[in-house]
Amino acid sequence: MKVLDSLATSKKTSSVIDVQGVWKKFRIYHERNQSLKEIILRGKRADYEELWALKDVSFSIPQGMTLGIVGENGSGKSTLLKILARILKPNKGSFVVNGKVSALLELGAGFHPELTGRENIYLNGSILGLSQREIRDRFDEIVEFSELERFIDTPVKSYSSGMYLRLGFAVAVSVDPDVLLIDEILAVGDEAFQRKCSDKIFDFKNRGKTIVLVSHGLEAVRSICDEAIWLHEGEIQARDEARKVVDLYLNKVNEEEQQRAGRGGEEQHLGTRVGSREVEITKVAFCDLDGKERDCFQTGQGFVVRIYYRAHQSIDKPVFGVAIYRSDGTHVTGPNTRLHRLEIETVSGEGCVEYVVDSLPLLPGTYLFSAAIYDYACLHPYDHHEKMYTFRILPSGEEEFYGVVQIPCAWRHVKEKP
Amino acid sequence: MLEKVRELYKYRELLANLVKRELKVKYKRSVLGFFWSLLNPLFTMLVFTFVFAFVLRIPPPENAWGLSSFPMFLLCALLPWNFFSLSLGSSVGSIVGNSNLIRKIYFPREILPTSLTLANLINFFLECLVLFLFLAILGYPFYLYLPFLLPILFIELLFVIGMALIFSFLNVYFRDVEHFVGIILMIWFYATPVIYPFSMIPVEWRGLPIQSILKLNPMTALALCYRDVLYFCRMPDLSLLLYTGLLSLVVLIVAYLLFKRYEPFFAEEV
Repeated sequence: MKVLDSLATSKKTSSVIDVQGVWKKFRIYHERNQSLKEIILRGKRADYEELWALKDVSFSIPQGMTLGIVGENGSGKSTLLKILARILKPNKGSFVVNGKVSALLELGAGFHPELTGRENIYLNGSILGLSQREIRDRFDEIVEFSELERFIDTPVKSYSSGMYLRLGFAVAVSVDPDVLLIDEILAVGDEAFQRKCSDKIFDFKNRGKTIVLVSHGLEAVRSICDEAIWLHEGEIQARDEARKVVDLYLNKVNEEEQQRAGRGGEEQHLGTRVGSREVEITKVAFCDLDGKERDCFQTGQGFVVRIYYRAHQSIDKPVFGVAIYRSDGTHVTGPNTRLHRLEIETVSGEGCVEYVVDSLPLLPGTYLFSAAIYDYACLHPYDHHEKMYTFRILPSGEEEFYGVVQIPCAWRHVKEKP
Repeated sequence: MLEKVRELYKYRELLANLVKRELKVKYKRSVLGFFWSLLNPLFTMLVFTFVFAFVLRIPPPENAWGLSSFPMFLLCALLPWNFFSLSLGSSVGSIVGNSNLIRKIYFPREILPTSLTLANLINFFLECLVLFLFLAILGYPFYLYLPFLLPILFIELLFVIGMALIFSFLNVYFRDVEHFVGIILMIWFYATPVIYPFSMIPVEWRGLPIQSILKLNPMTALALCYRDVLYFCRMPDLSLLLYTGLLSLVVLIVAYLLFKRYEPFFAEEV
């Protein structure tokens, strides 16, 4: 294990972080018994199982890249980050980090509740490796960023959790590292704080710093990171452009979810179904404009959803509705026939209602789809299939990649005020 | 080892800040504040003097100037002992107790027990100043051999840091150590000639050279040296000092090796 501090070396080598075949093992104790008596009686510390949290992980990150790490809980993301931060030591393998590292693993770790904000800035700053002088120079900046001017001489134990986080973040980013390691901190704090954090992270990014970001917030990874690594059970599953990796990962998660749902019984779909079933949805099919069934589309293509129904009795004025959700739960749209003034006088027997989109504005990803038949007041469900269907938008390379949808638009350059 | 020293030097400001934190937090919101660190040994002195000098009638030895005083005799060994025992007592849980830091931030873990030891060292210095004042008032020419106090102090500091590191390390793997340390210190205290003159111990007991055996206890050796300089106002036993110095070095090296081997795993164990 070598950690070089010189900037000169980082200029020579193109990669700032270089990880070679890192393995990390944890012991999972069955009963955490650390008394001497037990050790003497049994001759060992306690029964434990060994668990490989990282298996032969290798990758490198060039200067200035923002790398995201995604994966489910227990996949080894945080372990990897802690190894880069030198908190954990790998059992096998080696890694090199060139430059000054700052790890944002927990904000305000090391704050002492009895000490004031000012005293804690000095203490925490020196824990993070700043010299007294550096802290003194940056003190005003830290206080300003944390917005705690009035409370800086109050013991931090009387701070609110938001104030605590702001101060912790302000000190941590004042380190001005070459390499920033971030673990899930974007998930804490209120909206304003999160915005401040991501502004600061973008600021680091723009200044050419190298960032490693572990996050469950896949949208954050998609928007902030250049590339991403998908860790699965301690192994690298994929490494590619961030949005590609996020899509791959989401597909896998959805597939697994589908399998779990499928294992339960006949029902092959996700989601839930409610309704009195006087009229039933018998099938939902995604088609292109030619009527060919498929479940993968591309942005800008035609998109037709056929909702097949069977009415066991004649129903007056039913309302057919659909809803599209992005896989992270964002509700994208939810139109129905009543909203679009399609009056269906009555349904009886079998039939089909089509939802037609000429040019699909959705950006690549996996989407969940709901279909429902309600009474005219939209209060009583006859049959409601909530998020029971999925379709995918595959990237074509032509589409935009920020946000959720591609809104038809045009750009104009107007030199004088119009 | 040199690498370690260099790293510790790099983190010297953190060390200083942690010492400051320790001293600040300890006396925060108490009216007498820092004076408590002086009042404590003062009251211990009064109690011990009452019990051992008045009730049990342990006679304080006379020095070459014909001066004798049980309280002074006691303080000259009690203050160094307190430095040792308070440092060990507070450091033993310092790594486990700071798990929030250890699991989140990298810094040399040795800093935690070392900072507590240094905070106690500062208290010890202040207590020594008060002791000097007392000795001066009572007319002890303790300044004659005062320069010898420096190596004695330095050797004790090495020993205390070494012990603090070893015990705080042990406590990471065996949490019993924290409870155990109180008992060890109690036995150690009575095995060290703090409240009684070393001369009261028989030179030989059933053929065993008991005095020489007890001198192997580094705290005994240190207590004798401190007393030589401050109370008897004479040259300390240099061979005893040399032995203690070497022993302290061994303790420190053992501590260094233990930390070198196990420190990277502390984050998983605390």
